Amino acid sequence: MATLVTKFSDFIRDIRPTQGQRDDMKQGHTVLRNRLSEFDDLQDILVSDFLQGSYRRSTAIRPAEGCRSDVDIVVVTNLPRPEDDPVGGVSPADALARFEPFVEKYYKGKWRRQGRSIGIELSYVDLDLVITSKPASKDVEAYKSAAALTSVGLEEDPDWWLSGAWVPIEERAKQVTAAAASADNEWKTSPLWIPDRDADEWDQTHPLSQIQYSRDRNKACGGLYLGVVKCLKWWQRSRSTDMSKPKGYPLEHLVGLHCPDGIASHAEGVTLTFEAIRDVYAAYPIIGGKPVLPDHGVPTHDVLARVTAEEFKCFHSAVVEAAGIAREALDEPDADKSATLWQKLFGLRFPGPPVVKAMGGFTPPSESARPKPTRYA
Amino acid sequence: MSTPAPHLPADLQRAAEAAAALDGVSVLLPWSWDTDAWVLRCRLVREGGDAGPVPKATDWCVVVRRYPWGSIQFMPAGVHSIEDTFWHQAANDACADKPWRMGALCLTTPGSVLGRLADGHEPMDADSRLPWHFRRALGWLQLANEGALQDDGDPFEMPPLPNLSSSAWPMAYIENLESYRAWCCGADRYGFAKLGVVPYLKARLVLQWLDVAHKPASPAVGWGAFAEGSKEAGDSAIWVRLDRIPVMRLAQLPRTWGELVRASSDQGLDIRAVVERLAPMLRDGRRHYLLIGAPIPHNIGGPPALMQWLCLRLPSLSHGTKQTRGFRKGNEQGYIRRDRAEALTPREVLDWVATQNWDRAQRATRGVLPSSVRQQRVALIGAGAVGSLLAENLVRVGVEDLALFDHDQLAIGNLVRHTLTLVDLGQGKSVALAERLNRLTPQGRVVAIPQMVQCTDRQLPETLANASVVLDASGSDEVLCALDRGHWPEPVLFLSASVSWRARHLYLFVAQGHSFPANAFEAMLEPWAEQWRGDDAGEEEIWEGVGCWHPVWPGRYDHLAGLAGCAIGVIEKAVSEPPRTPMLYVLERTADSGITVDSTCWEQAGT
Repeated sequence: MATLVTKFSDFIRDIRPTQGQRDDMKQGHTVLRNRLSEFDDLQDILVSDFLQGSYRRSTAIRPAEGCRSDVDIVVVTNLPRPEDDPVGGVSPADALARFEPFVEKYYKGKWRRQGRSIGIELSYVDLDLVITSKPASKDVEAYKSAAALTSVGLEEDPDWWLSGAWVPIEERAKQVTAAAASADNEWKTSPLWIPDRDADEWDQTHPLSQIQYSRDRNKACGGLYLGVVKCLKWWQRSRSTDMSKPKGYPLEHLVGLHCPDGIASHAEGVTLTFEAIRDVYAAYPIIGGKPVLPDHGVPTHDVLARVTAEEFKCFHSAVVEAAGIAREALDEPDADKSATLWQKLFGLRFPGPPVVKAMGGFTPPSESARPKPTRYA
Repeated sequence: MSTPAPHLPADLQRAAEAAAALDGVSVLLPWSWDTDAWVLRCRLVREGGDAGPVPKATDWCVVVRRYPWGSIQFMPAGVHSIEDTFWHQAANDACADKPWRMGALCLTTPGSVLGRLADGHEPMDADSRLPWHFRRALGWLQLANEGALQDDGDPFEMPPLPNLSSSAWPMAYIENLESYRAWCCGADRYGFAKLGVVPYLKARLVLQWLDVAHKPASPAVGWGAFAEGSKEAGDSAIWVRLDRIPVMRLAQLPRTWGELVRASSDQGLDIRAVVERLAPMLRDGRRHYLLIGAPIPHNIGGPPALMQWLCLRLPSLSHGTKQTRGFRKGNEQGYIRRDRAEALTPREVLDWVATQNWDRAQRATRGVLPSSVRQQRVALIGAGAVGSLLAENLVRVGVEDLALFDHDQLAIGNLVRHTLTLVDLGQGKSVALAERLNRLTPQGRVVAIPQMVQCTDRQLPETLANASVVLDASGSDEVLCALDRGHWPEPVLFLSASVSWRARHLYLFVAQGHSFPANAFEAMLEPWAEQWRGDDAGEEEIWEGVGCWHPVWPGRYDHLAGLAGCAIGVIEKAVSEPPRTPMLYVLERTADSGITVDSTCWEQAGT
């Protein structure tokens, strides 16, 4: 059974955002967060701001040609909801409007309202600014902690945990007691309220719990889970003409549910995840329905709410096909044939078998080697 | 020296007979030979009634050279014709030694109203050409009489300058929409102007606009680096702003001082008072200039878009002991009186001088890069064969902000394929090239840094750090190392151009980022190096001249020039739409003298 560990590592490295893209994302959100902290008119209402989304969870894949990387930033404010404070409560639309002077000053001509958030278009990166209302008072310390504010993703810091004792990686080696990475002493935070899709009402979300969930799955899978998510996202995008949804977070959620613990390789993880999805949801396409998947942080939310039954059916049949190919590739003992099969799933970015050389062996040179520059000006 | 009168060519005679058969044309005198042309005196009777500025019948001298190839000119006869200048006509000055006036009709202007009266394009065959001109002339007369020679929407034309001296240098200035807006914001209606001359240049430059106190007035004039070699002209100028071009009537500019004063006071400005007010600074015996500015639109009937300047040379004003009798030397009142009586009398014929607007927008019609590309700050590293060709191309298509880095000196062997000349031998390539390029455009600002960019430099030279486009044409890996190690805070477009042995290929690497991606460059170029190393492996090293060997690579100028020209198109596209990942364009010279362009993208992860 060929697990092609190196090939998968190379492939996963090639499908994540490039160093340049990561630099751009980091620069974009760092500058924005610095500017926020210095913008006088918002200081009264700002509580905290932290990164969420696939960038933070290290499950993002390289954007398609012509598209940009996305960085999602949550800005926690102390604006009360109308439900909590009928007199001074602020509607989601008004909360977003409070930030318009800020984006107008620093990102004039580059920002626009996008329903529930403010989108900012920089040269290579899109920033998505989501505004929350006042969090529960017991959670404020958590949202202001260094653990929440860090911009380091799970891949760079798989031992991240939401606690006052958390310190950045570079300082961990120095502190003797810092090794205690445990979910037992993590803060238990409640969901936050953000504008719904049309900014009419406040709706719940729990980004930190999504990060915690991904961390836990990744640890249980020996650090391979994040790579498996990326592989399936890449597979989905390469098939996006046949099936458009689920993609993005809903797809990641499915992998989270069905990738088994204790996998030994990415190849195994991908195969078992496909097979699990195929088997667990086999009945739905037949009856013309789709499953309800509760969100981890907000169980009343259905992760597949925006996927239609028809789309789920297309997705499922693609998974059936993929599961077959993946199983064949995983069980194939010959590494080259296995690589070719994986290429069927992932496209040519997956490293194929090496090209056979026309001539082998060493030939002594007929004259002494003369290094010569090959370019002139 | 006049050629002896030849025989009248038969085709000219035939054509004239066909023309004479037209309605409204009658021949007054047969063809006569005048110096170098055949002249036919005829009478043209126009359509329409007797009323109007053009008499019903007018006499013309039709001056024909080398028929049917040369010029055909309809000149108003000395008598019984029109004396004013109309539109689409040269300045209708009287001519002392010819039986005609100088106001030749412009009958071949494309797209003008005349086109609607006679068939579109001028036929060049002997039978049709002269009659076509006669039909056009008749049409012209009718339109002139109706005042319909110009239509709203036609390109705005300046009235022609009367009595224009052909030997005087033109007065060059820079005006565009931006400077026009600056003029509109200013309150001053007159002031002084500083003029300059440059040793090799046959023009005078308006270097700077000044107010009456000789302080700089806006707009600032954006001359390029070549004007730094200017000296102040000994003469200076007064400028005056009017609301409209001061025509007397139709397209007739004032011919005399009196007419000019009248035309400007019709606009509410007393030009005589202005000159008298500023005269004290001009009383040095020299002849100074008077610049008259007025806003003009791009198209007739359109909004004003540009300040247009007319220029005339003032007579030498009273000064020193050239005083009115009874006034002491130095008495301004006396000088003024004398000027009014002698220098600036109403009948004093104006000495008009041609003016030219040397702004980039005026010079762009023959073809320049789009402004987003032209306006980049370009740093070019390497002023050798490839660098000099790219630089010359870029500057000619409109790039003005260019910095050249090269430490080398020009040697005789370089001239085979360099844009520099014998004059520049022994000079630093970057210095000589910058000087040359600054003479290609009056608004170019090319600077030379006579050093090569080195990998061991602590930091990037300032000009390089401020560039928006960095173009490496050094062929040097060390330069690329320096660009890789450097960091630009804003993303910059990096280009690296080099050629292969015998200039078979030009490799143009393009990447946008905060520093040059040397890894990507090496990786993308390597397959090409491998491929063509085999091609030149059999060649001997090239020796040039007698003496110690130094590396020389073969590559003909025509081959390099073709590749460099083609590369400009690729550079233009890369600047307009910077690539998201590094790209390598390989321009290859094909066997049949074509150039093919092949491009590849950088696929791998960037760690």
